[in-house]
Amino acid sequence: MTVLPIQVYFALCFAIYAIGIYTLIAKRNVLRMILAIELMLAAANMTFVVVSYWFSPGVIDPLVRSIVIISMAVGSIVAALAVSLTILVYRVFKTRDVRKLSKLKW
Amino acid sequence: MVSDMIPYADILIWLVPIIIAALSPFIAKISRTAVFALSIASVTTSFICAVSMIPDILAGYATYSPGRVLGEIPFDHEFVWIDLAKIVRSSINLGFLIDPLSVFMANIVSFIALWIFVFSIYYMGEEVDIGRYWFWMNLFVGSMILLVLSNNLLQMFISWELVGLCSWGLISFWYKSTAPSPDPRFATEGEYNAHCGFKALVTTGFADTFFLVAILMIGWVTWRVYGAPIFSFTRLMADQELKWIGELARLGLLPVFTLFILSGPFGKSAQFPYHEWLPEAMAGPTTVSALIHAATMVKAGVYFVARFFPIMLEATNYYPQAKMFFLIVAYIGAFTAFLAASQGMVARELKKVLAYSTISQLGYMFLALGVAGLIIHHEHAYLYGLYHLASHAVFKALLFLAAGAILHTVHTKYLDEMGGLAKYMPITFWTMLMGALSLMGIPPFSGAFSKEGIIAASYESGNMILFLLAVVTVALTAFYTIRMIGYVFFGKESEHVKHIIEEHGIREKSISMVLPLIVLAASTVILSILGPAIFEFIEHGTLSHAFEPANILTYFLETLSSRTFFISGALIVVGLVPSYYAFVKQTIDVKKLMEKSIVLRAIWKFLYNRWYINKAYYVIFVDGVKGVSQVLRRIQTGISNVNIAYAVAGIVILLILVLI
Repeated sequence: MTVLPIQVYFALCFAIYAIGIYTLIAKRNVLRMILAIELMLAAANMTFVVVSYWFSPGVIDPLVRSIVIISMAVGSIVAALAVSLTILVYRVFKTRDVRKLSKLKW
Repeated sequence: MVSDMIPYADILIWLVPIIIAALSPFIAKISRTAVFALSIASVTTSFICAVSMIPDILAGYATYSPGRVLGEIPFDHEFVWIDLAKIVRSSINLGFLIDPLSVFMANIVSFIALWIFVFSIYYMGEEVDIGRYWFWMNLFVGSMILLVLSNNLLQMFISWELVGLCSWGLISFWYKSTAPSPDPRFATEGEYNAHCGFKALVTTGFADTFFLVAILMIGWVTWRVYGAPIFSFTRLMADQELKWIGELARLGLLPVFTLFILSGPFGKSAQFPYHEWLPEAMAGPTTVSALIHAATMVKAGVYFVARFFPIMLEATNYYPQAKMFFLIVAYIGAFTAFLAASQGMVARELKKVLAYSTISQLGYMFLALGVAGLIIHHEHAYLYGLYHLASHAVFKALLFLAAGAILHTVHTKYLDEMGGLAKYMPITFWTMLMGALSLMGIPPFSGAFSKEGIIAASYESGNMILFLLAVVTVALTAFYTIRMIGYVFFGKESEHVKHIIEEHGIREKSISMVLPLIVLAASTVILSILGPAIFEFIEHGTLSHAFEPANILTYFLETLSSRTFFISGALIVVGLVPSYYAFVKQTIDVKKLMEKSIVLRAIWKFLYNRWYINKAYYVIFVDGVKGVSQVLRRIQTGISNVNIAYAVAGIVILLILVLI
């Protein structure tokens, strides 16, 4: 198995994170935004793994692995909660557009 | 030498009230009597502890004199509270400085608090929320004594804020009241009360921010000079040449430091430009006004200046710039005395008259302390300032309690709805009259001697502006005091009073309300004899010559035969006579006079609107902030896309700042 240069992995992480940010800023659909948050979380987890590999090449750090697995689990729970909230919001307001969900604005 | 002090008196004296404060909301649920009894027991403990400290001072443990560095004080002990040795080679300490000044203050605070607590038994007897009342009151007494005994600036600042918090909680105590509001801007009296408490908190908090900066400046500059931050009063004075003040002067920070360190005392003691919170503070129960906004908390500022006085006085020997401290204190004090007294002449509410009078008398104390740094006989003016603090604490507490007895009986706070109460409430009348005469400065009441000393000192300073402001205020004081007495006790009964007489009848209500009045009225006479004792105690820490009759007689004769006494006596008459005929005898019809003269009406309007300072503050600070936020709120769109864009922009800016 060939190992690509470390910069490629960092670039990939950054690209995924940037896609997430772009979606959060530009898209109105709440479900898309939840997906974007999940993307950003994945990017962060991946950065963590890459950094650990960068610090100690050839060794799999069990601490990092366990933390990332916990983070993924938590992320999936957050996603589940967010989707269920979206369903409730849709039932009440009949919309998935975040720009219309601004009742708390002054 | 065996100490006469009760073991751990310096800790029990503030810890007992604070513990009782924590318990009282729970005890109040079980038994109302128990919470009254426990509160009085706790403040009695404080008083006994405070008294037990006097013999130790007399035994010569501590000597103190303005202008001289404190000597050996075995009673300056401290514990490490937060250890910061690794960071700044220092620690935050919890310490107690027991010297004549702090013992003097602790005795006043606990003595006044004791009688006000006794007065509360009946005055707050019908109150539902008694647990909250006693929580704040006990916490106040504990933290006020902690403030007085603090040996370092940080601990003093913490208790300084604690008493401010208690003041807020007690001013807005009746926040649920649904009676009509005295101010048209609010729907109910409860909302108005809450606003008043908040105003006090914000004004003093604004002032205290500068105070905190000044304290941290001391820490920073002592760190530069001595290698470790110093906050303890005694150790700040330990350096004979006060190099840290020299460092401040060298850096050009001394003027800023002086203004900032004085900002705190001026805020707490309601001096110009922070004086506007105190009249509003009268929204609280009268016992609170008596304890916090007349007798003790507002004296904290005076106490701090007195505590800091020796440092600055020593500094003037080396760095003449430091004289600014005393000039500011003297001018602000004299101006505030005049400003507040002039407003007191037209106030419509009984308690507001007393509030303006408190601001004015506090101005006298600052004038005394400021002048003390400018004349050769420092200790003369300094001691008279503190003597006035004691005599004012007693007679103003007396006046407020008497006012409380009246308000509790007639159920109105407006002077023009009272009248003719002298024959119904004779004890209240005579004791309040004694307090009023003391406030005006008529012997043999203590106010005469203390105020006379301050006026003599301002005369000695040779500064005619200060002297004129001081003596003109004497006339104004006489005028508003007699006006208040006349409105309340003389003339015809108003419709409102007649109505109350028909319904309930008016009489002295309870022994718990009358006894404190009598005790405090007696104290104001006794204090005039105690003058030499207080001077000797604070200056030398002894009482050996104070009670010799020859000594007291000389002191009396010296005061009563001095030139300034005749000047201020003449001015008392100037203020008293028109007021007597207008409000007591009522041979001059004030209303007709006002209608005829356009000048009088203009002056009345100017004074009644408090020189328009209050209005200006509201326009600048309240409306100004509202206007700015009306503009700024437009950036809050409520759309999450935009909010995330803001967050990303923030991260980018932060990254650029960090990376460059």
